[in-house]
Formats: sequence, structure tokens, C-alpha cells
Amino acid sequence: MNDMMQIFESKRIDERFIMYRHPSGCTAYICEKPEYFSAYACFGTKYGSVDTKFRIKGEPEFTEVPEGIAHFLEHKMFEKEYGDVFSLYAKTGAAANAYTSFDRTNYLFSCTDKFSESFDILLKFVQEPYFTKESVEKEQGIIGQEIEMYLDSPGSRLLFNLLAAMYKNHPVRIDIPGTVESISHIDYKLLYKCYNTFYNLNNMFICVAGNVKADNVIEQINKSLKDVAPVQIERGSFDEPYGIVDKYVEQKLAVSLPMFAIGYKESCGAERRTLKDKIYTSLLMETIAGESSPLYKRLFDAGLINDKFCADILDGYGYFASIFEGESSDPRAVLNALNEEIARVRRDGVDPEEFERARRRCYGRLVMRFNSVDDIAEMLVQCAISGTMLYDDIEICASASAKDINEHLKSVLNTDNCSLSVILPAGE
Amino acid sequence: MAVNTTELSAGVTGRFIPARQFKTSRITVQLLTPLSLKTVSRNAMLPFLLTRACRAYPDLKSLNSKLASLYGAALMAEVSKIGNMHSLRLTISSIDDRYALDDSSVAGECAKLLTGMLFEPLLDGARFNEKLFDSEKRLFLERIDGEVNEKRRYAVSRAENIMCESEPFGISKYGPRAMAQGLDCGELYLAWEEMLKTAIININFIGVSDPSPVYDAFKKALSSVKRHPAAPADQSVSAKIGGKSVTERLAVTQSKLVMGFKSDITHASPLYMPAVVFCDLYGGSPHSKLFQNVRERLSLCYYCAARYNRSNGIMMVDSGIQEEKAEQARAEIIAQLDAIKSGNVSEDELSASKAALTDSARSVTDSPYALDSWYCQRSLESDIVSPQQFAEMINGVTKEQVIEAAKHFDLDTVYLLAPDGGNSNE
Repeated sequence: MNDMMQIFESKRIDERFIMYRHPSGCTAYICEKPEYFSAYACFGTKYGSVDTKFRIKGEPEFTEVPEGIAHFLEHKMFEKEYGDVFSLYAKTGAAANAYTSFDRTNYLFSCTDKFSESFDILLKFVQEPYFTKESVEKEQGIIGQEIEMYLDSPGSRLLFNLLAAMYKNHPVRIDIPGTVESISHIDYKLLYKCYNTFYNLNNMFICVAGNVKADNVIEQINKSLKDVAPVQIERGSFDEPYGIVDKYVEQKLAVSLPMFAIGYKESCGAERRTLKDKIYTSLLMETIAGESSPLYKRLFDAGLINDKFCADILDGYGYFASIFEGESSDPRAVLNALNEEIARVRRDGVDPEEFERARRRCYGRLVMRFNSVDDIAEMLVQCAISGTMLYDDIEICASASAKDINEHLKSVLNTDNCSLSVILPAGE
Repeated sequence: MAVNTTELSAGVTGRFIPARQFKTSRITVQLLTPLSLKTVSRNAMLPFLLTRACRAYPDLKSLNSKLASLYGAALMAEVSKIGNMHSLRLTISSIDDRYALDDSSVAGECAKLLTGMLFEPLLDGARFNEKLFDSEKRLFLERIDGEVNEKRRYAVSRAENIMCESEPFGISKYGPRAMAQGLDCGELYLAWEEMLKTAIININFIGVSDPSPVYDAFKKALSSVKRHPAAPADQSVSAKIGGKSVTERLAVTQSKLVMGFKSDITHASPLYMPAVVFCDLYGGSPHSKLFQNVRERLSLCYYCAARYNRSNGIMMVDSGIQEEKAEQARAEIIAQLDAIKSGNVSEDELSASKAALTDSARSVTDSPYALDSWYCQRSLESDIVSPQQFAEMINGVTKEQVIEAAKHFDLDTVYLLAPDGGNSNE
């Protein structure tokens, strides 16, 4: 144990993890789980689809890059001069993958054997870019089909149409993989530019959970991380107004029943809202429209929703949206009923019993995530991105009161600032 | 981890899978019955209807309030096909007592609730409560209609139905829509009664505590049922017919190519483990022939994968492509199978597939859902291997056996889901 290491613990749920700051600025989070067979490790960067405008501190101009480049870069990291990275993992048996979302690109594997060999592959390949003209062209065909696959995914279209209706300038409104057109502007020089900016260790994190020994993991990190000077990244600002763009947006696809997503655009500024804001908003959404609420029963009995109805929050730097989604023959009727119920609760306050049920449901869900080493590692990634602490959400939830969330309702779920996105069955 | 099984009644097996590492406990009741067109719809609707209400919690509000008070315990229904058998699952999962905010016994309450749902449903005489039934029927029809929403899964399931149309496996798991439309609350009562008497029943309990309270609850409820469990359906392999090629059109942007292959290798065959390794090497992992050639070398797709069904020996290969590239993809998928059949398998490919398969089998133990599914999928088999044993058996497979297994697979059906030209993305 040294001063670069810290232990965090939750007695309530009998969990702990170690945080280690590497001199490069890269932070590692390690959760030992000796009673599991598998381990999950990831090495990622705070770089996602929203990072379309940036410069390294000291550069005169901001660079603007094509939509979808973070995701394209993720694909190309797997190709090397010697062949592809999967051929290395093929020798260890680990299941390897990567994903890009709004605010991160993350490279991962899970395994039950030969952890240190696989971890070595991960640490090395993410630090070794290799982009050529030919390999970029080859990838345009593969990603083109990935983009077309998402164009047929009603859930994905529903969300991105909603975000475009809510956000005017913030790049959370664009599709993560970009478009066939936008990715045609990507070349290997741009990939290097993005890599050299965002894949600086000072902007990166490592998260490991499962059957590992923290000392060994840290030793391997110390051996493998390169000695590079930290860069300071300046992200372009987007001057996002509080108001939404469109109240309603629709698209026709091959679906059986109309799908809807109702998004309340919350005030945010350029930073992100606190974890407490997120948990309180979640509790409010559960209390107002959760499965045991009077509103849910009314909508269900009237045949206006089915068991796919759910609530979620999408948040990051500069955006925070409270979203209800589901399937309905009449999405506008659901929107109206929801807005009326929000107005009523704002006037009368939440029902204390309903709040208690929502609190228990949220608490149970938060605890259940600790069943899986994959989920634990991904929760640690969320901590690395947002700067919050694991277990804090459980404590906030356990100690929340009806009074707290009545107060919180004054600042969220503004019924005049919401958008409705609908996917209609094709041919109707 | 020692799995412990107990016979609770005729054809009713309790299976305790001790697992201290999880924050939850999980109980599943699996009902198994032969697939037939006559009963498929009513049986498929049953687990959804049973998990919606019961005598003690007669409506949505009271049931959901109960579940919320049990820290968001989740009650789930799942329907699937295991070869020519219909598998219906009712599951309850909740946080373990150790993590409750008060002293309540969450797991015990959950066991009581689940037996109540199965044995004491909301009835009006010899029929299900009509209001409950009507509401659930709407959801059931929406569930059937909603199958089209996920295009990849929809295309594979259409291809399976077409390929196996002359056998029970070719019936879709929820049955035809027109039959669901015709269901009534009396028929569902008969289905329920029949199921309690004749289904093969498995109860899986995954958790820390002693399983006897769970078993006792089921034994007590079963004591009033005259059990005469039906024999499992004939699980013989799917007969090879071949030569089918079907194109269907829908408002989509991307085409889905599905190729169905048949073999005579099931879990009971000596070539079973080699067939598992073959399928991974052909289209299971990123190092597989299909990923390396159809995706990486020819850039035709984002995914191209093979999945083998151990119950009836079929293998489905599927890929998302542009319609004009379908023929090129089809030819390459065949060429890669032929390559394996003719012995083009390297030691590296073989050891990579064995490593990937043993790794994924061992990790089953780390997830309550994966463990539950592992035993549900195998519940009809006489010698159930644990994930650990499976991993060890994979290691014994040789290259010659893999090539031999590949030779048993023949193309039967080619299915293409293609754009109808009316998509608003274009």
C-alpha cells in the first residue's frame, strides 16, 4: 500500500475496491472477487461521439472532426501491422470486445484463465496505434453495414430521433457511429490526430473486477504503461439553450405497434449534474410512473401501455434527459396523462407510501448490480468518467425522503420542456 | 459447488445450486410439455397470465406493491423451445436477506409468492378471471406482433419455422397469431390444470439459504395434484430435406441472410462435443472462419455467426448484408464450411476455439441467470454435465473429430429478409 492507493468500502453491501493513481494520470480501479471464476478488465478513454470539437492546450485552433470518428477509431485499434488483436486473444481464450458511447471508448475482455496474459494484450494494444490508408477503406464497408443495422433498429432510432428533437447544438444529438456519408471523410491522419489527443494516459482509466489480486494488477500496470507527457484537452463548447427543438418527431419503420419516447430536457450547463440529482430524479420517475403507481395502473388498464413501459436517465457533460419509453396505440394520450400526473404531484406532493415502494425498488436494483463482475467493472468505469464514488448512489437512495424529492421536483420534469419521439408502423 | 437434486413428486425435480457470491436469490419453476399446434398458444400464454396476478394479489397494483416492498423483486415469465418440447419458465429473483434495509425474510416471501402464482391463480370457477385474461391477451398478442421489431432474431426464427415446417420444432414458440386471437379464459384454465398434472417440472433454487422451505412450499401445493407426467416428446433429429430458398420483403434498410444447416448430431451423439467445437471454429468467435472471411477479408458485413442447436442438430448461420451482396456472402459461407470439411483446420484455430469454449463454460457459474438457463436447457437429459465438466470435455476434442463432425452438416434452407423499397431511411 502506498500513497497512490486508496481503499473504498461499503459495509452495507459488503463490497470494497482499490483505486490506484498511476504517475501518468491514468487511474486504475480494482475490485477483488476471489469467490468468482471470471475476471473482467477494461482500458478506456474519456472520448466518445460527443467529442467532435477539441484542441490540445496551446494549439491555436480547434479541430472539428467527422461524426462517428471515435467509433471508427475503436474499430481500427484492433488492426495492427502483425494482423488483428483477436488473434492474440485467441491464444488465451478471453472474450474480447470494445464499445463507443457518447462519452467513452472502452476496450475490454473477460476470462476465467490466463488473466495476466490477456491483460498484457489489452494494455499493449490500446497504446499502439496503427492506421493505414488501405485499412481505413476496408473498415468503411464493415461499419457501413453496422450503421445500416442500426437504421433498422427501432429502439435506436427512437432514442436518436428524441435526442435530435431535444438538443439543438450539443453533439449528443448525433448517431454514435455517424453516417455512411460522414465516415467517408475519415482518413488515417485524422485518426492519429484523435488518438494523440484523447488516448493520452492522463485522459484514460483501467477498471478490473473479479478473480484477480490487486497487487499483481498494479504491478502489471506499472510495467506496461508508457512514459508519456500528459496533455490537457480543451473541448469545444456548444452553447446549448435550455429549450427543446421540436415537441414531436416521428418515423416509420417495420414495427407492430407505435413506439414512443418522452424526454424531459433538464437544465444542465456545460458540466454534469450531481449523482444526488440523478438518484432523486430516478426516485421521482419511479414514484410518479413506476409499476405500482396509480398512473401506471390507469394507463395499463386503459390499454395505453404494456409491460415494456420504463423510465431512464441519460446524462453526461452538458446534457441530462429524463426519459419514459414504451409501446402504445396512442403515444399522445400517454404524454398527456404523464404531464397531468407530474402537475398533480407537483401540486399535492408525492404519496409517502408510493415513495417508499419506489425507494425500495431503486435500492434493490442498485444492490443487484453487484451480482456480476462485468457490471461492477462497468460501474467503476462510470465512476472514472463522472468522478463519482461507487456505493454513493446506494447511500443516497437509502437515506432519501419524500420531502427531499418533493423539493427536487421543483427543478426537474418541466412539462413545457419535453419532446415526444414516435416510431410508427410502416404502411400506416 | 455441488448441485443437489431431490425428487419432490412424480416428475418434479428440485435442484439446489448453492451460490454464496451473489447478492440475490433466484427461484425458477420450469414446466416442460411436448410442442404441438393444438396446445402451443394456450400453453405459451400461461406463464405470462400466471405471473400477472393471483388470489392473494388479484391486481397489478397489489402485486407490484408487494414486489416493490420486497426491494424490487422481479417476477418473470419466459417461453422457449427445447427441440420438440415447449419450455415455460416462471422466475422470481430478489436481493438476499443479508442486504434488506429491515429484518424481513425476502427469499422466504418470494418462495411463497411464486407458489401462490402457480397454484392459486385468480379464478372464477373453472375459468380465469375474465378481466385479467382480457388484459393479458392484449399483451400476448402485442408480444407476438412485436417479434418483427428485432430484425435479426425475427429473420432467424422465420428461417427455423420454414426449415422445420413438417415437425413440432417448426412451430413458433408463441404459436400462430390467429390461434392466440381465439383463446378464451376457459381454455387457459384447462391448460393450467393439464400443466400441473402432466408437465415435467423442474424447480431451480440458486442462493445461499437452505432450500427446504422452498421445497416444502412446493411439496405442500403439489400434494393435492394427481400427477401423471407425460413422456417427453420424441427428440429425434430434424430430417434432411434440403433445397428450400425463400425471400421475404419488409420495410428495412439492411437485408438479413439466414442459412439453415441440418445434422444428425445432438447432445446424445458421440460427436456432440466435436460439433460444439466445430461450430465455434466455423462462426462462433472473432477468430472463426466466417468472421475472418465474410467480415474481415471481404468486408461484406458487420456480423456473420453460426449457432448450433444441441437438441435437434440444426445450425443457423446469419449475417446482415446488402441485398446485392447476398449471393457473394452465401457462396463464401458455403466455401468456408467446405474448407473445414476438406481438412483446412489449423492447430491454432482448434486451440483458440477450445480455449474460448472452456472459458465461456466456466464463467456460467458467475451469473444466476446463466446457471439457471444451463440447467433448464438440460433438464430432460439423463446425465446433466456441470459447466466445469463441460469445460473439461471440450479439451479432449481432436482436429480429426472436428472435421468428421463438420461432414455431418448439410445446407437445407436459405432465407433472405430483404427491403421492400418503402423504407423511410432511404
